[in-house]
Amino acid sequence: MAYLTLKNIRKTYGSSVAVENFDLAVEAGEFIALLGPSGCGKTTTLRMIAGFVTPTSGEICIGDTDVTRLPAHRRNVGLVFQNYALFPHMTVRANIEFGLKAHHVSSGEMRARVGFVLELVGLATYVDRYPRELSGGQQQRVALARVLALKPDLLLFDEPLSNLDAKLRVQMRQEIRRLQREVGVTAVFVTHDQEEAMAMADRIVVLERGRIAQVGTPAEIYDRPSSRFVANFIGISNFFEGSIVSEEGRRVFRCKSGLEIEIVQGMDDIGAGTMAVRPEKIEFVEAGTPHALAGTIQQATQLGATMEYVVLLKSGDRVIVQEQKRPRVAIRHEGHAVHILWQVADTIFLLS
Amino acid sequence: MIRILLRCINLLLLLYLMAPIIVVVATSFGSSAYPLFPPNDLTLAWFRKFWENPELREALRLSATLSATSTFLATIIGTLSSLAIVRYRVPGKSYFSVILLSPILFPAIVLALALLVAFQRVGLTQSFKGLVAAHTLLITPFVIRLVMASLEDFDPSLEEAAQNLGAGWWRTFTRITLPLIRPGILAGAVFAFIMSFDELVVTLMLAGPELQTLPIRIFNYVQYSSDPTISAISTCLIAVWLVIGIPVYAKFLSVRHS
Repeated sequence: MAYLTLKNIRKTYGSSVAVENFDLAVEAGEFIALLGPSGCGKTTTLRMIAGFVTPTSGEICIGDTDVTRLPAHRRNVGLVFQNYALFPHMTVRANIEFGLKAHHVSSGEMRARVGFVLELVGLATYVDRYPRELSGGQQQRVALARVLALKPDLLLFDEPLSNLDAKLRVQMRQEIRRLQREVGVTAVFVTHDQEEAMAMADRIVVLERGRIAQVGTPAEIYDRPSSRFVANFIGISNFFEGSIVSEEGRRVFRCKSGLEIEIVQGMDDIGAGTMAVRPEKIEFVEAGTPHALAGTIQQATQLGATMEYVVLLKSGDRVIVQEQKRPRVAIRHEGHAVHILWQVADTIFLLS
Repeated sequence: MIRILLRCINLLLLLYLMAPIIVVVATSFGSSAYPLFPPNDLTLAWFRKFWENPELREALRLSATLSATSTFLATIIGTLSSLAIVRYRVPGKSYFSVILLSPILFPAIVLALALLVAFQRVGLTQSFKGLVAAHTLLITPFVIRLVMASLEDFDPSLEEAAQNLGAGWWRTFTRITLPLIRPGILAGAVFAFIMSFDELVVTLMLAGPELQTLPIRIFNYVQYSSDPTISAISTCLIAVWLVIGIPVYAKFLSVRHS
């Protein structure tokens, strides 16, 4: 029996559809990421779970309770906002006590819970500070402590890391995940960052224009994206449209451009579609290597630890290749003639 | 060079603005029977005369009561109106806010005549209730403007956070919204009080012989008398303004340096 269920949720604003055909069952203790570009309906879905938006149709259940029509303040659901939404005129303590007072928690219990959650997020000495006196990361922790103090049935996050710098973001990912496991609460996390979703979630829900494009574990999404949209969104940038043809007893995938790509066993009866290859799975090889494709470097970009190259193949296809910077591997420059190759097993076949 | 010139212009402008005030304050302490600047001898006689004049004292009491009552009503109405304008999608909202702010835009004399005609119909002329109604109408727009400004700076996700933490609308409003827009409300109230206390045109039209506010009394007084009592009243008002008005102005209405 799932803990949080969304049944056939649909939300429209006038004639525009924000979310539709949304079905999802979340197990107790699970960490779910809603992943998608802006405007895909992920935040609307989160706000429907929190009670700030009422679905046009469909049903939301937490445990055994149908909360679809329950006002936001009657749901015991903790939401961590993108901008943290700490009350600027209250100290850290008063921020945390606000919800406890609203729930008529006794003063002894209140003291204990404030102490407990501040200990949990490592801010016990900041109890009398005002939000403006805290750094972004600390504000984030207070926002988290504030909802955890209420022992919520469900924890919701609305892109909570997008205002932090890159290093802190990675640190807070682990921190949030650790706290969620420690408390054992079910969580739904909205993000547009595929890396964040991969790093944190037990399961990822990829959204495309208000509909679920794919649901799966990070490994499933990474290895077997169900559509070109999902593949593109999780960082695959090489797509070849074409179909499988047999010639002289062998079967290959022939692209519209004339490029031929080897296929793995078991792929040979799928007909027309799209082949996709991750840029980091492609290698530069010596000229004359069997099956290697020849081309020239059209563009070279520094990405920090990796280099990204755009390779123009003889067939006219453009391929993006990412290569780790390593000692003894020279950086390739624009105009260089190169040969590229990838393992047949790294090819992903997409039907659309 | 241009900088020095600008400084000089600034200084002259400041002097031009301050000079009348300095003259009024100085003459109120002068002992001659007509305002003389600079005063040749110092006395507090004109302040005593103001305080011992029952008509002026009664006028001060009336003005204070009238302005306080109108400000109280305008602050409540103005705050609620600005909440409605800023927060909710009311159909025809832009027209609504223009109408609410129109008393600022109309010439006072036009409004005064309109109110006279309207109030005669319902028997509100020459009554305290009528004056309160008129003043409230005149000063509410100022409250609305200032509260709207502070509401526009207010982050609506704070209210959502409060609800998410289990607070109903009343707790959310009293603990979160109200404390955070209080500076705007306070500034609006002070501004409104000053506008009301100062009001002459509309009040003159609606007030009967029994309802002589301080501005009306002052207006009448200077018509047949020229002793510095009026200067003494002005000095008192300036003092009150310095203590209450200026700090509020400086805090909430000044040009913001970011």
